[in-house]
Amino acid sequence: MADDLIKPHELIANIQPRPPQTGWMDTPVEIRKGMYCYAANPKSLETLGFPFAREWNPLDEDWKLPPNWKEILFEGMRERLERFRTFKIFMDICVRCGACADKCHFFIGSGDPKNMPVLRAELLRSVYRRDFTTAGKLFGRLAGGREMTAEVLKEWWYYYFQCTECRRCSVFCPYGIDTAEITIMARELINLLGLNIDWIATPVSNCYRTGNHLGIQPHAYKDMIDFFVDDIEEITGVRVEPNLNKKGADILFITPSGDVFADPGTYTAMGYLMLFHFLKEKYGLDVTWSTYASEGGNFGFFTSHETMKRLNAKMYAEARRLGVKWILGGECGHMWRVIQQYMDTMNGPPDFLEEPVSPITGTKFENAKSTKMVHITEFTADLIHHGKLDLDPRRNDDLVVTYHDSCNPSRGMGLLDEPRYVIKNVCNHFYEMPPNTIREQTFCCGSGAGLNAGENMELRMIGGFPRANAVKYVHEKHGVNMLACICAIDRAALPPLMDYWVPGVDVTGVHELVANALNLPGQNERSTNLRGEEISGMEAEDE
Amino acid sequence: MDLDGFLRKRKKDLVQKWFHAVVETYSSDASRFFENRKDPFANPVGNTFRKGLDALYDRLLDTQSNDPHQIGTCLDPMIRIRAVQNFFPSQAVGFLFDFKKILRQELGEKLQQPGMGEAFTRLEERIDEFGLIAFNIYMQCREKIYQLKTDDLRERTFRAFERAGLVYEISKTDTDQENYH
Repeated sequence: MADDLIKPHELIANIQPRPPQTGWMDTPVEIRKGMYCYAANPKSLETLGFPFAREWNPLDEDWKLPPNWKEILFEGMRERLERFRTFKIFMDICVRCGACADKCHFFIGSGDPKNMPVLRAELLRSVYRRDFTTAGKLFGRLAGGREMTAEVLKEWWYYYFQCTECRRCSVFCPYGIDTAEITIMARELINLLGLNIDWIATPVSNCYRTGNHLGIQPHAYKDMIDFFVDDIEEITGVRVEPNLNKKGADILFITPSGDVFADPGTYTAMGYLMLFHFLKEKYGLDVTWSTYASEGGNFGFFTSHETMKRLNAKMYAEARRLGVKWILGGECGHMWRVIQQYMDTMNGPPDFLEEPVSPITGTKFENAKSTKMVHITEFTADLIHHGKLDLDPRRNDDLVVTYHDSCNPSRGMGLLDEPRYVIKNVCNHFYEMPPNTIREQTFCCGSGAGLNAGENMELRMIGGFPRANAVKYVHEKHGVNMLACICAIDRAALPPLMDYWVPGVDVTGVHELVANALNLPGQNERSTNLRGEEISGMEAEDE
Repeated sequence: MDLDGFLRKRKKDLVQKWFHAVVETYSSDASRFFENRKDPFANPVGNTFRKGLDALYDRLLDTQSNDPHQIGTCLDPMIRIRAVQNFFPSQAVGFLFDFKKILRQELGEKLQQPGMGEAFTRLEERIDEFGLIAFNIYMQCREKIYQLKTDDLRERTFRAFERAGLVYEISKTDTDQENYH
């Protein structure tokens, strides 16, 4: 291990000119520190009623599996093959053409062949073939089948938690196989045996109990909002007055709790507050935040369909309770994939809400006709397009910005142009990264789908390398010093990634940039940005 | 021809052999990909080594320039990658020493020519020095990884709470100092 001190003779014995040349089925999994997340706290699993909660360590030989683990796993697989037609199709139709093989950021960064999406999927598919198809039952390995053993299970666990479900590979699949769905299914199966990881299970448990991943209670949530209000007043001289849990408001605003509790997302949260204040003052728009639906993110999505549904339900429940017209969603990644692709059929249709129309511009958000939930960059882009915002982009002139398409909004809902439109209207210096690293082909931050822990930092750095490499290019070519994104995981994951690969590049949400540029009625001479940094040419005069 | 002349004449070929030796330290699927995919953004690892080894080769030859910082700048992108991949420390920096083997093979009989042996020894010493610089960089990278791990919570959640006055304030400097005692 790179982080374990070993004796010189061991070191010499382990210097290999080439890695083992055995075939993938015969190369046993080696679980390396830095590449996996810790096992789930049993208490979190108990809170959620998940099976086989126990203490276990991935490095131990014995994972304390239930005696009938294989039976449980196969039954789970059978059930899902019947329930999800996509899963059955994805198991059957792959011809192993290899189009996806070199598209995964983890493979591109690590060179580990089991990170090639086709091979990662093959870990599951080979077991399916042997035990669920006639050819596999008859011919076993000759038909590409592989016996399910405890070692294979460990390999599943190791590699299905080395996939961020970013779906870049699926863009290149000629059959349209969504490899993320294979990972989703594999994780569901693994979780049937209590093999959850803590970075997912504990946020899910917190969210289930208190409404957000960090387990922050309503009063602390309010304290943070109050704190932002003070900060905004200090910077702009304007005291914004946000609504919390206001019944009868026009719009319910839901954003990931990361925006409220984790830097640099907190500046994005201040951005939302300033935008809503401006819209209230100018146009009378009444937006409310909720301390109950205080989490847009949904780590249930990385656990099981049922858990995702349970956590998501609060969005519509809160919208109904408050009697709003529709829901506005903040800058989040997987939250939008859940909303766009699952929410409406899981917890909808929300007939009690109205088809979203911007009360300020009259624009109908037809793409949100069914879900009744609009992405804030669409909302803001529409406001800018209609000239409804008073903007001074010069306050962002110290920033040379590029934009990282967060995987889920870009590939999961096709949100590509609106964030760029907003950025270009609030910043004077914007440069795109190379075409094969943005938009649909964007590279993942390397930490999505619940892998944003501290203990797997090597994995995150390797997985994020292709993204960082593209940032480095624009940093060196154009002097880019700010990486904008619309995902709370990105805002948490990209700063250490930049710190390691491209020092000198900071990370921001789009609405932090909007708020820097936004002129608030009655504001003072603003000499700093939202981070309290002096703006060149606008410095406050010495007292 | 002296060693310097040999190295200058054969640069393209020798850098390619060196590059090949580096990608051979990965699995066969990966080495094929790292070697053949030319797009620098689709294949950043391969591209970093292709460019990096080329520049490093020039640095090796430029015996007038011994600024460790400049040599380090050249090595850094490559070592930074190897420091987070599945390698022992020795393997992570070992590709530098592989170049000696390659050269010895390529020089073959020529090593016996007058003056060639001494020149080759000097070059080997230079490669060793580069190796030591590489190890420094490797350690800096590993230390950065550990720092990122420990900063993870403090930098994100804790600081936000701290700013809101929800927790007792312990400044980063205080805790860093504690670590050194």
